[in-house]
Amino acid sequence: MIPLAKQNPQNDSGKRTRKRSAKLTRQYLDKVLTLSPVVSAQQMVDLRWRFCGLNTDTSVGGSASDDIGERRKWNRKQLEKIRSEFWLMDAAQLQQALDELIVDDLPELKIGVDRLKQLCHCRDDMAALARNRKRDINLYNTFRRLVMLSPRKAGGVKEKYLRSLAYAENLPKAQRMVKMMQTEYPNLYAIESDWFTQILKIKSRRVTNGNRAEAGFSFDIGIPSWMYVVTVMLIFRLLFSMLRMWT
Amino acid sequence: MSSEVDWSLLPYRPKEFFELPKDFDRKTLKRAYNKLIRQYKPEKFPAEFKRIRAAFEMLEDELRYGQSSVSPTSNFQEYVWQPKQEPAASVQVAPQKTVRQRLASESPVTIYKDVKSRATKTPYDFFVLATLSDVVTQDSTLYFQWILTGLQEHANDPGLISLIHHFFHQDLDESFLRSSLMTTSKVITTDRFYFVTERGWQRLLKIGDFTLFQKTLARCEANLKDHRNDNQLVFYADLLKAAIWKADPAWLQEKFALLEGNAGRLGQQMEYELEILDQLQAYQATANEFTRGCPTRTALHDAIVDYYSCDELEGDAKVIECQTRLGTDAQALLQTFDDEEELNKSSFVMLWYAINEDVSQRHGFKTGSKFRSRKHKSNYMSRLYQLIEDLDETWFLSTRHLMTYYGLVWGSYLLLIITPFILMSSWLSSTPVLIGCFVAAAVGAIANHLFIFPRTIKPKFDNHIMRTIRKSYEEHWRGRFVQFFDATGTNMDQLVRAMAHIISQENQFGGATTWLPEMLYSDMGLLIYSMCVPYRR
Repeated sequence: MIPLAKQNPQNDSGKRTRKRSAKLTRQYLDKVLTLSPVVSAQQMVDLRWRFCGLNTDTSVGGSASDDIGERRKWNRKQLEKIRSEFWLMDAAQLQQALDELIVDDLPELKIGVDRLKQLCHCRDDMAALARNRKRDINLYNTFRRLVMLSPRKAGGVKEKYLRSLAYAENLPKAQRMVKMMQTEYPNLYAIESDWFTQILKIKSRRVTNGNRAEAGFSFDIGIPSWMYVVTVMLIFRLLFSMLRMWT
Repeated sequence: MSSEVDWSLLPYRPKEFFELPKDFDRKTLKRAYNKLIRQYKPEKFPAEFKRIRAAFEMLEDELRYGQSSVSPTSNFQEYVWQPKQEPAASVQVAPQKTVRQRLASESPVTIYKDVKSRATKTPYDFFVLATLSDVVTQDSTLYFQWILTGLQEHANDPGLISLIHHFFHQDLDESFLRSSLMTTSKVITTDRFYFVTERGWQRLLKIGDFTLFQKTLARCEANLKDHRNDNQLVFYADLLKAAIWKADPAWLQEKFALLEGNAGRLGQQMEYELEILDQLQAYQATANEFTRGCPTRTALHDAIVDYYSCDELEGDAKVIECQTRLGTDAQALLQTFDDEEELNKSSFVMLWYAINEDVSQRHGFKTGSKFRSRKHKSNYMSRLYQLIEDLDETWFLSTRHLMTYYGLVWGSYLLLIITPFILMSSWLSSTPVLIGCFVAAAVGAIANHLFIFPRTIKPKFDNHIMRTIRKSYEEHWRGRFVQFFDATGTNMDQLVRAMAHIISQENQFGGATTWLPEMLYSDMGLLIYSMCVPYRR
């Protein structure tokens, strides 16, 4: 037989010496000895490793993956529940409910949970904003609604609001509220900073286009300024000499 | 492919199982595999996933290495692995029972000793010895040794080759892996060694130190005695995708040169692999310049490295995590990629596209550029129309820009025409001087038309206009496109095509708005953002 250094091929040597029942051994041998390696080699090798007490393939096999599937389902359901009751629960309850979610290896849910945690810390700010006289009720309600939605649904709400704002009477008020949030409630502002930035950039379509495009004009077009002076001087010189010629 | 999967086709008829055409390629195979994986997600259907994966790997190995390397028999259904009844020693003696039948009345130890004592052993006998060694001894290395001994006696047996090949699929300990690779290279000294041990090398590269990996590989290669190197080329074409991030430049250069020198022999199936390798090589050379220590760029870089270094599921998970994170801070992403020049040169974009196409296809994130229905399309178009209408007035351009342009055109002509007259103004009463001035003015006008204006003044003016437009685009349009992508979940291709259609159909939109499709195409930040939108469920 081909010699090989005496080493344990597996990572966890402790499990290798596990006692196996005669029934288990018989089941394993019955199964593995009937398979053909040409088409079922992977299954044969997997069976052997499981029999030897080392099911290392945790990424797809057995209980670990079943667990992650179930956990994803459960966490998603819980997250939806928290979202629907977010404004009704008190801060401690909320924090506890969010802490119970185990989403470290579920990135698509972790983002949503982090967002809710962030919002949970700003609940007092939200309450203060609700009482603030400078707030625009329409913008406040839209913001309050969209922070509870999934990113896809929130995207639709945000875009619809931006479109409507250009024609809205309350555009200045909404923009004042955004500026106020920027300074007085920075944590709330940070939750939807991209959207708030866009609100500030909207120009009303209700007013005339008189003030359109004022900011961008400049004479700095790459032509040296002395050329303008020389051109004007030359034109004057020509006009003067022509005048002198005719007189 | 129908939604009902015929499991009875596995494991013997994988091609029919995937509903592949007769002359399928790797792309078709991968598409069919990805489609099934979407249906049978590994976390929900682990057993089904394993069966699909095994069938896919078998077909992929066949495409990459060729049928002769994967299985020397022409039809594996005809291959006899386990005899129905073991042959009788002589005519007087009744045929012996199979090992399974013997297990009912005999102990594994007795069978093990009996099979071990046979003078001539079949490949199946070696498998029986390997399997029973796990039961009757405490030495777990015996399994591998018996299979390898079997291969020494039956060099081309497809069953034993397949067992060794899949043995290296397991998560073996590093030192055991190195010694088993070394031992295998002494037994399988043909080019097939690369096919048989491929997964072992991938694992060793992942878990071990590269210098040690390099030394082990070199020592194994020294044991091979085959003038053919087809399998070696295929092996390196795949291995380099993971090795490129760890290997020393000299080793990489040598291996890339090997592939380049033999590119013609790799065949059509490997064309895409070589293209990806070219992109990886180009990207890796500029990776430091690309990341610039910026967290967003580093996250993208890490996702690429993980995708090509880890196994499929782990790599996919890293990409999904990166995409989900990127989607949470659009502003940071847009600010990170504000250089419009970058996109055309970028091998990063090519790689990121390829990775996302693969991952999204496998996990069912809808990134396709087709509309679901007419209603969906008309809804999308009307939203886009409103968006353009809303922002059409935000360009910083005005009629004064137009006036400046014409001022420059006529000013330059005027300047060149009148200059001779001004310089010679004191002598204009002389007819030859006057004629000379007219000739000089005409030459000046022609020179201005042909050279001076188009080559000096116009480019500067155009640059200024472009800067102004770019400024308005960054200030107003980019952010709104982010919101638009979030709301519609569509991709960049779809947006650019729809926008080009609207602009060409509607006379209402002119000027800078007509340049939007072009600007969108060169906007790397927005492109990357659009790619992460489908991942945000």
